[in-house]
This record gives sequence, structure tokens and C-alpha cells, in this order.
Amino acid sequence: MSEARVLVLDADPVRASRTAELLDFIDYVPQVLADVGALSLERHAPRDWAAVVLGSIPDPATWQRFLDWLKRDPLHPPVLGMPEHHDDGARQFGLNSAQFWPLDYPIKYPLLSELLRRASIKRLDEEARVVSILGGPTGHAPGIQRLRVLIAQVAPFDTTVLILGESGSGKEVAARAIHDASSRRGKPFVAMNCGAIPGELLESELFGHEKGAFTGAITARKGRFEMADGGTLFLDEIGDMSMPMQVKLLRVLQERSFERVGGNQTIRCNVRVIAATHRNLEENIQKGAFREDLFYRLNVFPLEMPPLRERLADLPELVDVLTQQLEKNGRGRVRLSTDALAALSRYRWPGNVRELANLIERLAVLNPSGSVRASDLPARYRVEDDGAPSVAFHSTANEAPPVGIAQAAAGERLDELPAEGLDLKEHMARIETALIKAALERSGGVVAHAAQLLGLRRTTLVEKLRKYGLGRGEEAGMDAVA
Amino acid sequence: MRQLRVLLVDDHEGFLNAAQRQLRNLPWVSVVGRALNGLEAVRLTEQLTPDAVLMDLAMPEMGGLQATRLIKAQTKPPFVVIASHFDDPQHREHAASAGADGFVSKMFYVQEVVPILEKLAGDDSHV
Repeated sequence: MSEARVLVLDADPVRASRTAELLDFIDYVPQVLADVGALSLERHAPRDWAAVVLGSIPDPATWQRFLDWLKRDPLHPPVLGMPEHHDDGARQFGLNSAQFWPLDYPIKYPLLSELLRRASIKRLDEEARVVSILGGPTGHAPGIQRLRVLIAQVAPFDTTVLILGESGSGKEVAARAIHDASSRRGKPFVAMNCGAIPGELLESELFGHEKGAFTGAITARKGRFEMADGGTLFLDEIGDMSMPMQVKLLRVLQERSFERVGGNQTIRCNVRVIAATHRNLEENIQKGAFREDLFYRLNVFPLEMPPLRERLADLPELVDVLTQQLEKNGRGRVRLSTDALAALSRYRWPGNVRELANLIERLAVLNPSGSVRASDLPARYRVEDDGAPSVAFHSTANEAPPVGIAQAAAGERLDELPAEGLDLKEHMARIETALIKAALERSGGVVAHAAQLLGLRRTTLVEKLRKYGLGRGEEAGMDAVA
Repeated sequence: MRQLRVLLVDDHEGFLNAAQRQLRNLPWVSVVGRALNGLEAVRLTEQLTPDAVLMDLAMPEMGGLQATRLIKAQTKPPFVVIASHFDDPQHREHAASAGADGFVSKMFYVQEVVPILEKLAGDDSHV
């Protein structure tokens, strides 16, 4: 039942084989090399290993080549240095303390196991960062603009904030934005998902424990309250917390102090608490599943996250942010055609922004060609046009507003029926020509590219150009430019 | 109790064999496929539409959490259980935020996975 691979580089054969035995014993697959020059780098990626154990180096040149290759991946596994590297290894190899960890020899297996556990968490943390939205809530829909104003209002004070909203609506993004806009921003932001942690572990996770507090507590450990000292503690899914834990949390909020599990020393803490839940806490109070006194403690400043289906105008901007982030992290290039975006704007998004992020990541991985049309979407996102008015998209943050649309809209909302009514056919034609003009503009007048942006065949677009009097002559001229 | 169609995902063939042997004792479980990495898991999930995917957390190339996120974006996604070498709050939180529906320790794989599958097979409300 082996889990992951560990690369052991050590020219000391006795030590190397001891290390390998130990790794084997804790269910890792060791790959032992005296000289890393024997490894063909083209056939590997740095993340093939959970960690690299570094002992005696027989050839500095091959090691340096391996090190340079390793460091090209910013998320490379940590290097666990044997004692001869403890004093100077990090500096000599140009690694920081998050990338170079000392390993004592003889190796004690609980410590090695703990280092590998931390290496695994480090990787998961880094991977999660790649796919989470940074820099606060994205978009310009009224609900999001209101949210931004409220965040700016509450951030400077140490007020407890309660963030409400459906799953995936970005509650942690909002909590982080509050922290980043507060005077605590230089201090830790510690998040905890109360719903994902088994009840019996929650107390020690929140408050820490002393050595020997329970079976398995081989060392004393800080809880998240202590880790967040001076900063912000984000308690997600607070509605899933058991009643006994709610009592303990209430006490900390009231007295600003707590004890570790198995300890009797009272620890003072300076932590701002932001809680969140997708549940209806008032209903839970009625049912006797949530303490009313805790609710009032938390509900000092409630924030409501708008669901994605109520701010579909932000869809293009969200897609932009998500695709750029994936691209920046080398996770693939993906572009959505206009018809794909239109189909997505007709979907209800029960999983909100997280669901959108998952979809974009999926498209980036599975469509190496990079261009996604509506027909490339998984079936549930291919929502047919039922004739209902489509959404007027906001222009995206990193692009100039599409000129044609801005002119067509001229302050009006394209999806709103004016009091006096309108001529639908003419209205749709206006939107269509505006989008075609915008596409031509963006494609530098190349009709074939504009057609791609609009999810049309080239011949269909040529026909439309003729229909709207955008003219063949014009088209020929434009194509000639390219 | 309904018949449960299960996809097994792990980069170690030996682990897949052991898991499959154990699950064979449950007449209401049929293993419909095996995948050796995350990308293959995504492809097979779409093709075989299993009821549940038992997914290894750490695999080279595409790991179990990324595969879970991708699978959850498909039409009618299955129930996904992450199997992890390490069982601690941090690993559980990461699995939950990737959208996994369950979490088991690989040390106690069979003991922990069977009750989860039992519950799923008895609960027809899940897609």
C-alpha cells in the first residue's frame, strides 16, 4: 500500500540503504541514487517525488544540474538535508526555509513521517493557491459592488463578521479580502473548515493540545487560534459545529482566552474571527442545532454573498480571471467562444463560482487546442437558448470595453424591457451588429478570426456582414490587411 | 439496496488489486473500471459514469484532488471518496474543498470505505 515516491541521493551506501528501508517501512517508495547524474531528467518532473533526501554528493556538477532543474518548478518538493548540510545547505543551494528542511541522522521514523506529512500539506496548499481566486471578489454586478463597499467598511475594525451564502459563492475570498484590507494584513490569515473535520478532532485543532493529551499526541501542537495570533481566523461551515464545541467557541469569543486540550495554562489570544456558513442559522436555532447566544456573538456584521446566477453579467470577467490564473501557473490556455459564454450565462450555477472554476480548469486541461465552443462543454452546461433575453455582460477588467457594445448600449441595459417596449427584431440586430463589429475590431479585421470569436462559420459571418450592410468590399479590404 | 458501480483510482497496481479483491466480497458492488492516474480517472468517469469513484490522493502528473475538481464539472458527477495516506484535518479540508464527498485513510481503507459505500447504495436520493 505504497503512497508516494521519495528520491534518495546519497553516495554513502550504508546510510542510503538505511534511509530506503525506513521509507519502505512507512509505505513510501524510495528511489536511491548515489549520483543524480544517473537520472534522466527529461523523463521526470520535479513533482514526481514527495521529497528529495540529500546526503553525500559525489559530483557537484551533476547535483547542480539537478538542483537547477528542480528549482525551475516553483512548487518543487522540499529537499531534506542530511546533517552535513544542516549548517550551510539552504544558503549554498539557494533554497529558502520552506524548501530546505534539516533531517537528523540516524533518522527517527516518527520525525521522517511528520516531515513527509508536512511536505504533502505544503503541496496541497500550493496547489490550492493555483486554483483559488486572489485579490478579492471579482465582478461589477450590483451585489458584488455592494459587497466590496461593505468589506471596505468593516475591514478596519476588529468586528466579528458573519458571511452567509450558498456553497461555492466565494465566502473565503471575501474573508481574505477583509483581512487584506485590515491592519492585520501583515499577520496570518488562518482558515478552517469546521465541516470537514471530525468532531472529536475539532477541539484540538482549534485550541491545540499538550503532549500526551490523547493517544497519538506525541508532541504538543498549536491550534489554529494560536496560529492566527495577531491576525484573522476564518471559521467556515460554522453551522456544522457541534453544540459542545459551540459552547467552547463562545467562551473564547467572550473571554479572548482558552486552554490547549490536556493543558491548564490559560492562553490569551488576539484574533479577529470571521465565520461563515451556507446554512440558515436562524432555522438551526429553532431546531435547537445552533446556540442563539453564539449566533448573536457572530452576527455583529453579516455579509451576504450573492449567488452566481444573480450576477451572470460578471461571467466573462470571472472567466477571464480564472483563465489567466491557470495560464500564469502553466495549467493550460483556454479561450471560450461567444456561444460558449452565452450557453454558460443560461445555466443556473448551483455550485456558484467554485463550480465555474472547476469547469474552466477542466476545459483548460481537456482542450489542449485552447478554444472552447458551446459544443465542447459538458452536456449540463450546454443550455439552449429558450428565447429569454440574454444577459448584458459587463466589460472585463483587463480589456478595453468592446466598442460596438458600448455604443449600442449607451447607458441602457440590453436585457431590460423599456417601459415603452421595443422592436425586438431591430433590438437583436443592433446587438448582433455591435458584437460583430467588436469581434472584427479585436481580430484586426480578419473575418476568419472574428468568426471564431463569435462561434460562427466564416461563411455565416460573411453572410451576416452582407445582410447588415457591413459590405463585401469592406470585408475584402479587411482580409487584405491581414 | 441498489447495485453500486465503482471506479478505482490509484497509481499502484498492487493497491488496485488488493482493493478489488476486498470489494469482490460485496455482492452489491461492481468494480467497473480502474485508472492509474488522475487524467485517466477523469476520462473513465465520463465514459463509464460510475456511481462512485474511490480516488487516491497522491499520484504523479494529475493528483486526486485536481481529478476530483475536474470530475465534479462533468454532467451527473459521481460520488467521490478520497483515499489518503495521511489522515489529519488539513488533508481532510483540502479534500472537502476540492469537492470530494468522502475521505478515508489508506491505512484503514476497507474498514472505512465499506460503510460509506453501504450508505450510498442504500440512499437512492444521490444522483
